[in-house]
Order: sequence, then C-alpha cells, then structure tokens
Amino acid sequence: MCDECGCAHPSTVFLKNRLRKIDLQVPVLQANQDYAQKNRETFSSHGLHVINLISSPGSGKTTLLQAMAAKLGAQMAVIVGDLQTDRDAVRIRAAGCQAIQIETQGACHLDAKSVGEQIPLLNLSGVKLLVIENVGNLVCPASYDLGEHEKVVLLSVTEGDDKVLKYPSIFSRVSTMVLTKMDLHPHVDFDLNRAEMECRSLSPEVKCLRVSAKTGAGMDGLLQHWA
Amino acid sequence: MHEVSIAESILDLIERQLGAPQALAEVELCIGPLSGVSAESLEFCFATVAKERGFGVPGLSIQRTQVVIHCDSCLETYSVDDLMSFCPHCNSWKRTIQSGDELQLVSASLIEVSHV
Ligand SMILES: [Zn+2]
Repeated sequence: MCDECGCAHPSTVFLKNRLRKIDLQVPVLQANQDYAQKNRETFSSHGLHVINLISSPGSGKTTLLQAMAAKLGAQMAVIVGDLQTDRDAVRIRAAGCQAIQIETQGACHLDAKSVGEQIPLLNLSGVKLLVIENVGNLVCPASYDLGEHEKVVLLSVTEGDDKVLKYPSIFSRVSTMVLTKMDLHPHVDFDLNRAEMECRSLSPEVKCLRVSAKTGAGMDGLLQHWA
Repeated sequence: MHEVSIAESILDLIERQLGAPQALAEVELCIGPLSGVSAESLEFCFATVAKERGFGVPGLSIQRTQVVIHCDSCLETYSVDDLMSFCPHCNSWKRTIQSGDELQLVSASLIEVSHV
C-alpha cells in the first residue's frame, strides 16, 4: 500500500503534487447571513421590531434596558448575550419584562443561529419590541447580522468622544446612536457634537439620541423613537 | 477577537464545497477595512485552525481593499485605508461610504497527490 495517501498503489516513490484552484467567490459569513434572513422573516411574521444593541462593556446597556423594561413591561422582550452569568437577564426580568440569556461560552459576539434558537423560547404575544443585547465590545458584533431591523450602538459619555472613528466598522452600520450616562456629562470632557458629527460622517442617516437612564432624561424620546 | 470563528467559517465553506477536509496549499480572501475582521489576526491563527481540522497548513493570501468614499460636498470620489480624516479635497465630513466592508472567500487551492 502507498504510505503517502493510503491507496492500493504499491509504490510511494513516484508521487506528484498538483495544485487545483477552485473559485469560490462567496461571503465568508454566508451561513450566518442565511440564518439571519430566516430570523428576519420570523420576526416580521410576529410583527416585532428587533434591535441589535451593541456597545463596550460598562456603557450602561443593562441599566438602560432596565429603565426601558420599567416603561414598556410586557411589550418588550430581551435576549441577552452574556459570557457566563445570567445576572443581566435577572436584572432586566426584575424590572418587568421577559428576558432570556444566551451563554456565549467565551464567544465575543452573538450569531444568527444562536439567536434563532432562542426565538421559540419567548412568549411573543403582545411583544412589540425585541432587544438583542449583544456581547460587550465594539468590534466582533459588527460583522454578524442577527436578522435585526436595526443596529443600535450605545456610547457612554465616560468612554471618550474619539471612539466613533476608532471603530468605524460598527459606527458605519448603525441606524441609531444613543449617548448614555448623560447625567455624568458635566463631570467629563466629552464633546457630544463631535461624537454625533463623526457618527453621521459614517452613517449619514443615523439618528442620535442622548439619555440618562438614571435621571430618566431623554428616555421618553428614546421610547417614542421605537414606538 | 473573533478571527478563530472567522477561520472556522472559511473552512466550513470549503469543506461544504469539497465534501470533506482536504490538504490546501492556499486560501485567497478579500478583506475591507470596515469588515470588522483583522487580517493580521486571521493570518496568525488560520493555519493552526486549518491543521486541526485536517486541511494541512495552508497559506493565506489576503487582498486588502480600501474604503471608497463619495464626498457629498465636493462630489469627488476617493479611497482611504481608515476613516480618521475627512475629504482630502475639501475637508468635508459629509460623505457616503460606497464600499469597504468586504469579507469574501475568493478561492482555495487544493493539493492533489497523484501517482506518476
Ligand atoms: Zn470633498
């Protein structure tokens, strides 16, 4: 037997390597895009508006969702992508809406398949807004379509106003940017207009909102925006 | 870093095309600055992931595209590697991104062993 390839040919001596090039021309994340499209159809058939919420860790995502849950109650549902604990899901549930958690097992982003598997676990009757809280970072979630209707990015005023152009892959794909922790703005050096102008330079149609989940300032405008 | 899962996705596509893992000499990709994927990190991990899955130790050939931008003020079209600065002709920030988010698997070169 040939030791090289395991075939029945008696000799291993006269082997020749040839290259065969196959043209593929396919998006690397084609499989994810197919799942995302399926999710989008499911979401639409339930009459849901679906948001993919993306931010750095510590930008106040869960606090904002708690404040939204307190106002919207059963009209909102949340899917939380969390590295290990279900602490965020518990906090959101306590504030008054359905929340289920996807354990990402170390992955730095959610993908459309893992989100799709959660949809049957939600009771969607009466739900109008589904928020998918992505894993906290501004890089990896940008590439993965989850089937959402819009990507929303949160940027807290404690993070620095230069982040927009540093993470163009996400800020060029958002339809809404929410500047959070506005109650802390008097204490930090964050140029609100600069951040919003730079975001518009990447996504000309982006809607920019400013909120403080703590004081409630801007919350009504935010909820109206998605009503 | 999600380049390991990007590498897995690339190999999934190739495996689906071939039916089973097979030794590869090279994989060709096209990556844009807005793809959210770091070409350097992918180059770093790709051969390791490929080897673990039985694809040999393929090289990675990455064609890097630029971001193509249309200036909404002076109407020029220009290309850049990053978006940190505004229009080189008029310095306007009013711009429309036309391309730059490519993340495409272009081709795969298989090593076929045959007896002479
Ligand atoms: Zn110009």
